[in-house]
Amino acid sequence: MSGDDTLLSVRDLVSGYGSTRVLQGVNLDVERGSVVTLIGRNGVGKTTTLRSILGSVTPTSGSVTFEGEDITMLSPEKTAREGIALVPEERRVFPGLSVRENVEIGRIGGRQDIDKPTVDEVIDEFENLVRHRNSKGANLSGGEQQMLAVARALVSAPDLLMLDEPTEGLAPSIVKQVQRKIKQLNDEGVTILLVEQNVQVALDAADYVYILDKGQVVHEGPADEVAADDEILDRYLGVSAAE
Amino acid sequence: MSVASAVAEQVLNGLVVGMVYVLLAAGLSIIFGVMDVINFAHGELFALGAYFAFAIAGPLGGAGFWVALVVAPLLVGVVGMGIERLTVKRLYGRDPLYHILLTFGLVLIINDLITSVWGKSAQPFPIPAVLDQPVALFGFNYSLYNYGIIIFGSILALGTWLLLNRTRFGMIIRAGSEDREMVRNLGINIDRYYTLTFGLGAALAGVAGIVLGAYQNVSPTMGSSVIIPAFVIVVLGGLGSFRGAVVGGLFVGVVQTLARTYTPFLEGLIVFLLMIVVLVVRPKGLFGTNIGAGEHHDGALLHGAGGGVLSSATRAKLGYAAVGVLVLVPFFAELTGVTYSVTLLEDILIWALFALSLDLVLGYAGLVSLGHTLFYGVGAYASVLTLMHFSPSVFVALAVAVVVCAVIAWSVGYLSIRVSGVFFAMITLAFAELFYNAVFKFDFTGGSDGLFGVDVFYGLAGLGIDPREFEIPLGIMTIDGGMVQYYFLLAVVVGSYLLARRLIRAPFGSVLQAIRESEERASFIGYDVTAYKRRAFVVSGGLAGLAGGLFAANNGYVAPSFLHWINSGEVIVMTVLGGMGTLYGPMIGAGVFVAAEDILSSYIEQWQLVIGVLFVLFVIFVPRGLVSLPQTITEHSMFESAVGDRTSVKDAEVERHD
Repeated sequence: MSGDDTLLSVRDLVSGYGSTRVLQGVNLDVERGSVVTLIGRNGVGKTTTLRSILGSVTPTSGSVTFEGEDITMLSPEKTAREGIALVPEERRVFPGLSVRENVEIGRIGGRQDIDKPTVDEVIDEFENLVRHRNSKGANLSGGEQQMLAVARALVSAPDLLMLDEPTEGLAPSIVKQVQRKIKQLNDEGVTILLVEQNVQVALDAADYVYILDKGQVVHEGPADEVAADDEILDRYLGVSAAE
Repeated sequence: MSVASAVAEQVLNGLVVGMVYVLLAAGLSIIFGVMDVINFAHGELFALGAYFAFAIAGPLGGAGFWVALVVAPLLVGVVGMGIERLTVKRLYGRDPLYHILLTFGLVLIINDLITSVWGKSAQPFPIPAVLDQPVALFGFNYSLYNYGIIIFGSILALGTWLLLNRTRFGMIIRAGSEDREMVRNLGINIDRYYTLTFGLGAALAGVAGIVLGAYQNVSPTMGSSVIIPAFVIVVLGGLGSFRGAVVGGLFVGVVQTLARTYTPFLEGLIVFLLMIVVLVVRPKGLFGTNIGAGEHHDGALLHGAGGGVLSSATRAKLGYAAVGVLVLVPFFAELTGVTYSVTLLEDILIWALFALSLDLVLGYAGLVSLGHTLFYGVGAYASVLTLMHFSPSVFVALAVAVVVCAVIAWSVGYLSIRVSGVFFAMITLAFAELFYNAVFKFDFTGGSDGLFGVDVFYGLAGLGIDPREFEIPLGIMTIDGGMVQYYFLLAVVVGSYLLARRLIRAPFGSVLQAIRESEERASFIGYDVTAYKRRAFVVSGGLAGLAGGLFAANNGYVAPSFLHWINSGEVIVMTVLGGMGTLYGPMIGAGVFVAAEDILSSYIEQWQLVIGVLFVLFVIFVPRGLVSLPQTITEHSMFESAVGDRTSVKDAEVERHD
């Protein structure tokens, strides 16, 4: 599905840590305005894919193209300045900084050539952050920290938002909130690349799905087709959609 | 003057010194908090500030001081940024130990540059005439300059606080100190901020140097005399805590000054005692938090073990050959009349043993003991005191040295091994400084002179050799007492090496290495990590004590300099130079270091500078030590012949991660 509307395109990406190869040639595309999710079991290379796109892991071969530009070998800070924002695994908010400062620092990063929303405008969009503007990151609950990590990424007005397991470790009611937020953001036009363990969340949110196994894309398709394919879900994820 | 105003004056004096400490400690603490760098060269930057000001103010006359007060710190800031760019930067991502080593090398370099430009003696640096007068306030006269320092220092400290907490710059470096990778991921070039932060810390040190230089005088030793108290303050206040640096600095300044006046005996001791008490009660320091205080370092200690192009059989042969040469040297020396070489070898052997002892904790247990000279010095004092008061036998003296040091190591270990990493380094440093200052205070340790003129008997209960009377003619040469000393020393050092090797090859050694690789995993398997580390520290302390005892017995004296922190630094340098984590590496390192020092110092006046530069290069480019050189060279040539494509990727990887 590589067309004019392709925002991000990953080709034959090989990448890993030290001598361990985690990605064995990953191919994927993200269309502008869509939600694409990567699913797969633990350790198949989902997070490494995101890290390789961002540049915190350096690919050994293959290419990453963003907005038609080759960003394969860019460092994370340069990639972020191209307009890709990451909401990392385990959120990684700055614990000693206040909520406002956390968002403000996100605003300093990202693309430098565009108008960005103000810190308060972004915080106002997150009902559970509004009351905590001046609290330290460390004093927030897990769900609040997740929202803060999303806010920190959004404030840079990214062209692509990458979310790494945003529902991990959250209570079911909070998971619903996160899901709603992803939906809302996408409705507002944000392109999203989502890595998710929770298959239900992943399939609900996605327009298009890639299934990763042993460092390669083993299946791809529109979310509703994948959701209906019990055999595929069972083979690569060990679950069926009905679960 | 009334008692009250006398006390008030002392408190004010304390605040003056305290302000200097605040400025120093604030810089140290910011640099540590943001970059995890323990900057040993901070004291030299402080001295550099004073000397720059001295050089600027001199020719300018009246207004010179004010010009210098602005220009000199900026210059020091630029020097600091240069240092960060050229050296410190290359080590990000490695264990903080390497920054200690690197900045220790920088101390040698900057200090030697200062003495070669401005000379070794202290020089007066007059304070401006406007401030050089007393003012009457609160009913007594006090120097206007001193009031000036207190006010100026407060303004600077407040300014720094505002910079850290109320500006964008401050926000980014605070975020960087908590999670630098995340800051990068957001698209912020944190490296640039690191350089600025280092410059800021250096400039603050420069200001402190000027202020104190004009309060007392400028001298090349001013850096090394403030660096240890500054560290104590940073640790006391809580590493990386700005509030801790301010409160700790003022507190230590006042306590030190009051102690000097009212309890002279405790001067020099009280600060270290305070630090030990605080750390026992609150291991993180007064204002230390758990946040970002370096619980997790990705940087690994790079040890030389496991890397050998040389097979263990070859190494064993080389070892036998080395011992063989060492056995033969005295004969050649005797025949050729170059007896000096034996003296040098004795020095090398003693330092080799000392380095070996350090390696047991540093290279095998991953514990950075910054005060290892504590054991060396105490061992020397213990054996000299035994020789003087109890028994002339060298065996008894050395046994006492080993036992005393092992007991001290156990106690220090008991207090400090539960807190890990940087804190352990600081606590060991504090204990060493405590003992260093203590030996000046007592009569039985000989005060600042030390203890001289002890005679040694190589035997027990009257049976043995008295080296002063021993002489066996043997053809064209004689075997004399000097040779007996030498062979005894050689035997003890070789024996200690074999003992250490036995220990490391036993399960005990495997557990230690497992702890070094991953403390957490070792404890999950069920080993009592703290107990193992403490045992290693006890053995290490005992061996270091043996080294000190041997030196004292060999040379017949002991002096406070045996306990000076510079020894601790040098022995770390030797260990890393040779290659820690191998038992022979540090011994080779000691040999190279002592020989280089000896040769260089007889040819070049600026030998410290040369050693410093060599060492800095070594830390950056050969962190696994001399023993890794054969491997590095073979790997490199193999690498060259491999596919070029691979090279470019690897280079790119290195660039992106540093």
